[in-house]
Amino acid sequence: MRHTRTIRIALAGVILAAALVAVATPAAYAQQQQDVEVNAEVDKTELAVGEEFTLRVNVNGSLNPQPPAIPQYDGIRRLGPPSMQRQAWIRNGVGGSTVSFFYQFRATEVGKVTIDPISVTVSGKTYETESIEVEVFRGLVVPTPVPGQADASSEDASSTDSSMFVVAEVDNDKPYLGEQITFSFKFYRRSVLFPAFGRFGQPRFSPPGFTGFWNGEETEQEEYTETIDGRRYQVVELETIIFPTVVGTLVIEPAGLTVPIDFFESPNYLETDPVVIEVQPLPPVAPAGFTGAVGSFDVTAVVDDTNGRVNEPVQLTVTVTGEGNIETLPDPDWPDFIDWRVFESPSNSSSRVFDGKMFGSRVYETVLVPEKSGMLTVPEIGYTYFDPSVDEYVEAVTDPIVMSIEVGDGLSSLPSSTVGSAVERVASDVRHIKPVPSSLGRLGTALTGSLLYWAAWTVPLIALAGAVALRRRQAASESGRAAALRRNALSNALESLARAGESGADPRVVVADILSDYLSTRLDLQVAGLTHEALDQRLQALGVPLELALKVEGVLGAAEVAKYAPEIGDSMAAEEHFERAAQLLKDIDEATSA
Amino acid sequence: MKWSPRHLAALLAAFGAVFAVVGVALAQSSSPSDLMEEANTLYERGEFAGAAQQYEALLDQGYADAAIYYNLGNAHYKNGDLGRAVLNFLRAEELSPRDSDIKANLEFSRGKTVDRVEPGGESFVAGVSGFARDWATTGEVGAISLLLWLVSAVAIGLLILWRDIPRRNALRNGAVAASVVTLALFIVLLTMLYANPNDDSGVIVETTVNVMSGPGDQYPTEFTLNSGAQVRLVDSRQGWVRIALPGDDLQGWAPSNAVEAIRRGG
Repeated sequence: MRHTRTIRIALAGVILAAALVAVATPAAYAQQQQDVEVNAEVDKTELAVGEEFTLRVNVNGSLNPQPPAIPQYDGIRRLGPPSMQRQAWIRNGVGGSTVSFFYQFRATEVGKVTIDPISVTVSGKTYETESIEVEVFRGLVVPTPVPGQADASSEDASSTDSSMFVVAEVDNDKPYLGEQITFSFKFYRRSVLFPAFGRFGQPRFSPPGFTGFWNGEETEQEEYTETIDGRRYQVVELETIIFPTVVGTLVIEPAGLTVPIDFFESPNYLETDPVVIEVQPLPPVAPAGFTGAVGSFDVTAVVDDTNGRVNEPVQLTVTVTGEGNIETLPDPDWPDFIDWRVFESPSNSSSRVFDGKMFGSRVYETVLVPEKSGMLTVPEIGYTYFDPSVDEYVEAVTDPIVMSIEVGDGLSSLPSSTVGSAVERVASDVRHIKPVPSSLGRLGTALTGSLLYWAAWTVPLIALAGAVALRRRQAASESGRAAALRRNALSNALESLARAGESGADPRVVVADILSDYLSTRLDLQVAGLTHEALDQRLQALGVPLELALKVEGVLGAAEVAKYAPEIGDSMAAEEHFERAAQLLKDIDEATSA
Repeated sequence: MKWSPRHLAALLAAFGAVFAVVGVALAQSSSPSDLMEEANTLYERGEFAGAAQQYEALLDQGYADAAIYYNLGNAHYKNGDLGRAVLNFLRAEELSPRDSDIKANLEFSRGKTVDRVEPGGESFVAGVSGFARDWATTGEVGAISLLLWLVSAVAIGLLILWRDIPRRNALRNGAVAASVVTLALFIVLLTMLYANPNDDSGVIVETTVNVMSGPGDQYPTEFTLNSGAQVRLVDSRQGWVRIALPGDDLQGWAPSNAVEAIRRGG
């Protein structure tokens, strides 16, 4: 394998040597036979701005001329280093040789360019060419996205030309002064040929200078695919909003893109052609209120309150919205505000790009102070602009605002921000000394350093402990009294029964009251308001058998009858009521004591 | 002995002489307020060194008022002694933490110092303490917390002893709230007492001081500090004081006379 390669290299060397001999022999012969002639020619003598042409300097009769020195010319720009071509020939027995130097130029300005005689030195003798005139015309040169037109700086441009190239274009090459146009930079690449694209670094965009333009916002890049001549390209497009600021022919210089390919090759540099733009002046007869706005705008005016008082400020907000260069939008032609004092404040603007166009608004907040009462009018405010889409000046006008102004207190309450300017510190120093205080503090033990202070923390604790103890004692005392009452409940109830006959009241009611008191004292049961079922349940829960519970219920029910239906007679004698009640009390006491 | 009019006249004359001597003596001895007034007058006249001496004399008499420290800081600042200006503004701030003039002058004079000592490395407790000290003195927090504790205790006591007290629920809620605030303030008070940065802090009062690796000139200089830099005082030994910057990354020894403790007499 290695031998085969060696043989190939050797063979190539032999062929190259033979070729050199073959060229050199007749050339040397021809040089002896031929006089030296020098001439220059261009492939185009008339071309448009942005077009390229080739200057060719031919030296006949010498194979080793010195490369001519080519100066810089106004109106054309040289692109890269020259290339050279040597030719030697024998024709009809007569030999000859030609060495040609090629220089690539690009036209950058309109006008005539004279390429002065070019000097070539051969064997110490200087020869000169004739001068050449090239005429550059105004014209549009927007390169069509045809593979092969890209200006790649790599040596093998042909291999990259068809696979990636860049294009610059504008959406309007004859805009009016101040009209917004969109500059698009497009990078085409064939994804099939660059499967590893981006792996070795992202392309680096070198934007043009945009001389003569107000350079607006650059929109986000857009990516899409496009098919050209049957080839599918990945396209990355960057758009920049620009506004021409001078009239005449403007050239957007080439935009460049450095594209890394892989680790072993230097990155390719792709460059667009320049873009020529013919900026037209605005129509000469502009209306009086026109202050230079170009685009399409609307204007509105509102006040924060249509009712006010003399000398009290009212805020007038005027908003200009629309499509155009919002950032450099001129102010409206303010009318005379008669009967008002006007305090203007700086405007603020906001803009955004949508669908390749800049939109936005500029807000003017003005403070108006009415100087007299009555119905005052904020006059209409006009905003005149040139609309390129209809080629004419347009005036947008707000409606006048009528306001009712009452008599005020004569004092202006203007916001401080609207009058005067912010106070600025011009020097700084420590604040001044303090006067003598009414009493001077003395160095002493801090409050928290005193034992008395910490002792004070314990006082409430001790007091609370005492309160708790007292409360417990009270509770114990109350509990003892209750127990004594419970113990004596039966005897007290029986005593009451014994005295019941003396009262003369209905024995059923008397018996029921004594029973209720007993239950309350003995069992802590309040019978008032309880239903029969609830009473049964509570009594049984307290250890009273159901039979006794039903008797209690009967006694209480009889008392209800005696109270609310006295016409129903009592079949039982009073003594019998008392005896039965006494027995019931004893039974309950016995049952609950167990 | 029988009192004659001559005796009486002599006695009155003696009393008059004594009163006169005492009155003159009292008139000649200046009150603290007069001393401070005098110092302020010196300051107003631009005699800042003299004013500083007068303020110092007041402090030496045992007075410790934020106004004295503040004015003393001003006098030192005007006299070109930035370190002592910062030092006395710090002392004034501790006594009157909400005084905007003191804060302003402390910040102003700190802004003039060369060394930018970034705070850092402080514990949570120190952070709480520092935050509280920006708003109140230890004495104020101590007094308020004790007062709240007394109020809480009274409310709790009433709830315990008086079962049927009117608005019992409102009283109970108030007692709970007061107790919670008392507890919080008590914790803050403890952090302030535990972590008072001024207890072990000092300020460089010399224009420039070389901080050595040991307590002596024979040791190499580790770093240099300039007037007004606040440092932590770690240790002291025979005319040298060991200082540390926040975070304790930079430590070393400086001559005692180059550093003055914020705690006066410390």
